[in-house]
Amino acid sequence: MYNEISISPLQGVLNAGHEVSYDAEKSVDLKELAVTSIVQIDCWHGKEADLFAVFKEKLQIEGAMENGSVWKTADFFVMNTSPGSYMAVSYTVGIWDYLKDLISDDIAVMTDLSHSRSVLSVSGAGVLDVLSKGMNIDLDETVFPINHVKQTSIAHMGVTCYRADKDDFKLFVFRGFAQSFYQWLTHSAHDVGYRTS
Amino acid sequence: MSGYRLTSDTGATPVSFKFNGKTYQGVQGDTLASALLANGVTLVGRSFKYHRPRGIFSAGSEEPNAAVNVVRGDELEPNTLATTLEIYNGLEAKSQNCWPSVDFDVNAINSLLSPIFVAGFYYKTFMGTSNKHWMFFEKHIRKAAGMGEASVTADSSRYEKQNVFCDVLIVGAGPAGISAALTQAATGARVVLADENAQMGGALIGSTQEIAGQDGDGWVREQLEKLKTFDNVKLLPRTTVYGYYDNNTFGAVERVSDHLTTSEAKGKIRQRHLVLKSKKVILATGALERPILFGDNDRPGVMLASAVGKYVKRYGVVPGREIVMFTNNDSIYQEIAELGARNVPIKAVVDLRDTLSDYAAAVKEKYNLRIYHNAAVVRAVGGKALKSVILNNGETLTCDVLGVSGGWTPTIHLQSQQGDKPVYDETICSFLPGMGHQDYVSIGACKGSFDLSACLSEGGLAEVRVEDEPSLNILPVFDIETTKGKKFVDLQHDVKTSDIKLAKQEGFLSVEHLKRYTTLGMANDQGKTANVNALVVMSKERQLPITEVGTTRFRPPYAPVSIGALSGGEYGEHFRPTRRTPMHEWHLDHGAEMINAGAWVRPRVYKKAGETVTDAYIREAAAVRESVGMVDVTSLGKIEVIGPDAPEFLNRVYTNAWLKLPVGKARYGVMLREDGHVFDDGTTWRLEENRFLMTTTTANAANVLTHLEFLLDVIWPELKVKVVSVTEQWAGLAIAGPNSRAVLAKALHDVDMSNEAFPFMAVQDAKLGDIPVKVARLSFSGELAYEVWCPSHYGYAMWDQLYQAGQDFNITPYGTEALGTLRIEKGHISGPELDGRTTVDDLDLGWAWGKKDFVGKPLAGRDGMVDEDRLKLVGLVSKEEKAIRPGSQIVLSNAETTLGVSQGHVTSTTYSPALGKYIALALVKNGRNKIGETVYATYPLKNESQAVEIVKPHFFDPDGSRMHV
Repeated sequence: MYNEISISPLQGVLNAGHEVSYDAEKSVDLKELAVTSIVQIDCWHGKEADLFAVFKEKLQIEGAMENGSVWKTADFFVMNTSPGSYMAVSYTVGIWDYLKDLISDDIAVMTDLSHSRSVLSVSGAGVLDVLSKGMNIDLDETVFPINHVKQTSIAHMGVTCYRADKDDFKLFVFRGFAQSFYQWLTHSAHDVGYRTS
Repeated sequence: MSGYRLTSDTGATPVSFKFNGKTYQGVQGDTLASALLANGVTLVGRSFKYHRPRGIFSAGSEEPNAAVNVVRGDELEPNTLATTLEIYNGLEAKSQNCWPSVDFDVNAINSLLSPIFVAGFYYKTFMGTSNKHWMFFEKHIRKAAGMGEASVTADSSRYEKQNVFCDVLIVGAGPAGISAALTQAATGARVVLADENAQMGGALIGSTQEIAGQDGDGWVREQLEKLKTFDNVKLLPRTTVYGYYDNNTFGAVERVSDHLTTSEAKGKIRQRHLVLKSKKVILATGALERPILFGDNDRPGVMLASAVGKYVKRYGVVPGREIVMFTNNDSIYQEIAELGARNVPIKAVVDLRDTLSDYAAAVKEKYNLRIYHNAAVVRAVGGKALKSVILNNGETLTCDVLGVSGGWTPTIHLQSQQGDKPVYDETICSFLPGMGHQDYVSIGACKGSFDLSACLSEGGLAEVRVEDEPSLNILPVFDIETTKGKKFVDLQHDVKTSDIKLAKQEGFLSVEHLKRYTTLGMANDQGKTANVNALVVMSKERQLPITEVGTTRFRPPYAPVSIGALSGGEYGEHFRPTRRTPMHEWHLDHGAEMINAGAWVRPRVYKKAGETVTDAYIREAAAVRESVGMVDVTSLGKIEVIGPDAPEFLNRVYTNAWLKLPVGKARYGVMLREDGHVFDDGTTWRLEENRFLMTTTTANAANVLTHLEFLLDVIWPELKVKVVSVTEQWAGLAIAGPNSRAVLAKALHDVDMSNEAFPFMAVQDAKLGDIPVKVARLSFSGELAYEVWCPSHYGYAMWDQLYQAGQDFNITPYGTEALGTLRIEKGHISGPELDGRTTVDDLDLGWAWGKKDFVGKPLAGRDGMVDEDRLKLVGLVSKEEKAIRPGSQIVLSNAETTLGVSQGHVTSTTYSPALGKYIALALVKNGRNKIGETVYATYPLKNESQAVEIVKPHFFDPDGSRMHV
């Protein structure tokens, strides 16, 4: 969460209410998401099934365990960012202690990355058009389904891309790159139009 | 030539444009070429070498002659093809390669000197015996030759890149491509159909040929409308697919707003560079007509027959009043029929063949053609416009347009680019795609299927009925024997048949040598209309069949790609991304001059009014020594090393021992590459029993992480360790100087800052107001110093609060320059010394050499790695009180300053406020045994040299007493 001493890297750059040629039929909505907690969970080799069993039992997560899946709970979601590696994200509560109690050191280790990423929501009719200008990933739903995550790079910046809905993506970038990434995003959205909130 | 627009097409929207300063009217949909032809403009440019008058030769991207400069304000776009440039209100273009004007070109004298301007002329004449000869002449030759004029102002247009994925990519939207698109679309596959032209439809645009009971133009429009109803079909007109790469990946350029007026295009993307990836590929790239060679075949008015047809069909423009056709095949009769259907008269047809096919005979009868059988055009007569042609029977036919058809060359560039060796086919007298190396198929004319019905059938529409279509019926005659006039094979580069003969005489027999010696097939048309004829000429000279002469392969791009399109959006502020620390804005607000350190942007100095960079860093460094300073060290690489085997892992990675490092302590470590050279250094903190925080140099952060991951995944998978980059999680600052402890003691709580409670190399948690911080007592400056880290979002607040707390001690923020000064004074190594070539001993770090095994140890013992004469780290002090330039070479005596053997080089330099001297670190051969000697630091590029004394690298406080207080 951002406040007087916890400052967004996009403060003064992404200003809510800004519009450029916005047209709901073809434009995108840009929004910075303030994250309360990001925890990277790295599973020991051979313990993947144990970790998933914990997720399934304790978090009542449904769905199969497959690469790139995203599971949601009431307070946070868990992204399988690469084999054996997960990123748990909450916009509302701290989850480090909760997960620490849940996952034993024999199964996985955790790293607090809550301040390491800037998270941008990009949604709307033009989102595929805009993202395809940077992402070398097929964004068709059959290839990149809803509730899945992919690691990629955009304009030489590493991006964790979570597809929350058909036209709704959450993009995680290194905090230090936030301004450059936002500049790329607005440049790429310029011809379809965008608005910020 | 006196072209005109057919009256039936006069209802179109008028467009006003300028060519060579004169205003003309065209209509919407015109290319510059069609508009100029409609206005009777014959002369468009001058040729490359001889500056001969040139007109419009084709109606597409194969054009060798009509390249123009497009003027946009102060910007110029050279080599733009008039045949593909769509006109818009306000378009301004001018001829290139001529001076003072296209009508009167001084360099046309070159044409008179053509007997000496043969292939290889420049190399033979101007190379001389040394490079100086060529360098003297080169600039004059280049100025004289030229291929347009490049803009000297920055391109103000917007470009971007886009990735496009599909199931089926179809290149070429002629009848074959459109048929294939309809067929594939019906399967539900994601289809992309790309075509370089503004209008899709290929040869059927404007065609009156009957297809399925309607004319070709109507049929193709209907099919395109059908395609637009499919959600799974993406149509990309004005999109040139220029390159075919591995894994069915294609490069393409979409011309988004090139056809719009300046006001319409304002703010819009100009061109979009597309990377297309497809599971399946269908190449329907068609074929290009090629000319027949005869004397002075470059005269303005000599055109491809299909171009004559296209200008009439597509644009309603007739290129001339008196049109003669010259052919060796039947396709020309189809064009004649199209002209006839619009009442455009043909004066005569010169046909190399004895007899006519039924199709040609029908056309002859219908349009009452005068045909010269078994005849040839031997020469075109005219200067800036065609006046007549001379036949081989001696007869002269007056005309202003000669349409020529020497057959068709399948467009197999993309197939060839991905590795197919073209195969010569005698039935069509041209090359076809060879064996495919990737998952694609060729259909239609590009695989030699010139019949419309075959094109539709190969696209999947076999049921569509086509009426009245000719076969090729080609007579393999390419080159007409003549006694007068120049016969140009490659019009764009002025390569004549005689040049090919000369190349053969001089031993350039291979087609690859022929190409490079004569420049045939080079430049922006890549010999699209020239290559086959050139091979025919060479095969005749060598008395070998064409199949044995061989052919060149095509390379990307198929057509020129602007640099702007290739850059995509990566220019200006988007040239490369930058990383900003959380304190970035504070630095800017306090006068920091920033500097790039890799992707990071860091404060270099904080200038005060009137200060130079040198003034500022000297002040900052002195302030640290005298009281206290603070520097942003967020950019340091940070890696969490976690797991029960983490101590063992670190013990193997670093040269020194790590097993006994207690929790709450940090240690300096050096790591080697496998080859024994120093890789990186930094401190690593033990935060918990099984959790370490490793720091790396800014430059090596990513490399070290990759190195560690490799070791864990490949070399020691049995170790239970994970490594995670936390560089962005932590903001960091170093606070250094005699008063650093006092500042922290004032600002922090929940921590005892006394020397006893917080000893050197200790790491402790503390609070700064509400901000949780980690404090480590480390020193890079040689002063009493601490690093203070917090979660990044708090970085700005942490910095500002400590700055405020330090006001009582006159705390001074310092940048990378002062940081360098302080560490050089202490002899601490950094990037310039960690250059990938130094060993632990070279850098005087032997104390960190452990007895246990570690990465790099075996190879570090090689003879060359332990040689006494290796370059060793030393200090230098200027004996002349001058700055020592970094990169200076060390020589033993002043006489050797320009030619001496280097004894080493200067790595880092500064003015030391603590010593009041200019000092440097250097790597000097056997340097540690030369302490006290005077050598010379020389910099030949600046003609500078100065005497320096070799000293130990620890200039200041060598016993480290200042940081242990």
